[in-house]
Amino acid sequence: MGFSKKMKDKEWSPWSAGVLLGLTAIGSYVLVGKTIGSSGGIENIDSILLKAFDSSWANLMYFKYQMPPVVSFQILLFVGMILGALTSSLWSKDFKFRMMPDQQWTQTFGPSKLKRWTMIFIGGVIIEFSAGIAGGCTSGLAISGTMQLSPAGLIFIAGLFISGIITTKLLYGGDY
Amino acid sequence: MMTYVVPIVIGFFFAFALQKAGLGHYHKIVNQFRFKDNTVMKFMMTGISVGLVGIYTLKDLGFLQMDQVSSTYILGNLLGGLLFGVGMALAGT
Repeated sequence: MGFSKKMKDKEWSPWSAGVLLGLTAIGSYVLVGKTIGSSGGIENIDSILLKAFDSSWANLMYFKYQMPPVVSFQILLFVGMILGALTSSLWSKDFKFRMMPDQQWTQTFGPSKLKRWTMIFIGGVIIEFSAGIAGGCTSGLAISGTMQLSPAGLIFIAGLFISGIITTKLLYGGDY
Repeated sequence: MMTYVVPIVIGFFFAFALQKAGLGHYHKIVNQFRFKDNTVMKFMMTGISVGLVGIYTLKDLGFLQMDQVSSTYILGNLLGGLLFGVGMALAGT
């Protein structure tokens, strides 16, 4: 199987994509001395916004020292992530503007766009807030943390699966 | 210059892997919680395994110092994780 054909595949096996993820994480540790993470970058952006609008929250210890208002490593990661996902999806012709998920959503929750967008917004707020509590997100804590055998990553994965399974069960009801 | 380029390249491959695993799709995430599609688990565990072996090998050979280990505070990690799962199941991201 040639390189070009592989790149045109819409989906790789999770194993090969996972190997690429692992190699990227090693590269990040060796080249920059930092671990991959996403949620921290959002908090840096928050911090920049708070400072720009002169909010009193900008003086909180958290936004002053923990998540300072600078263009951090993780904000630069975001730039690369947009380019990476765009390249991957354009190359395999998987790129599409989606207002709604492709499958499954409409069967369970109906065709309302408002419902989907409200739920993804609330979900996003919960995700970012809890990533702040836990000290990382799926990439920063679950993947990068466990990779270094930090108990934090494993505890986080356990918590996330417990509540994820329960929430999905509640949402899907009998169709679980 | 390099301080800007290297993180962007790392982010590029990170999101490339995520997109190729299909994790940009709502059903991939939610179906993991329904145990109908184990892509997320396979992808995460492969990534963790490869990274773990690589990082610890390079550390033993003296090429890097492990100074970025996420700090553990059990209550915070657990509470954060429990709340995080609710958000993930709602948004499917």
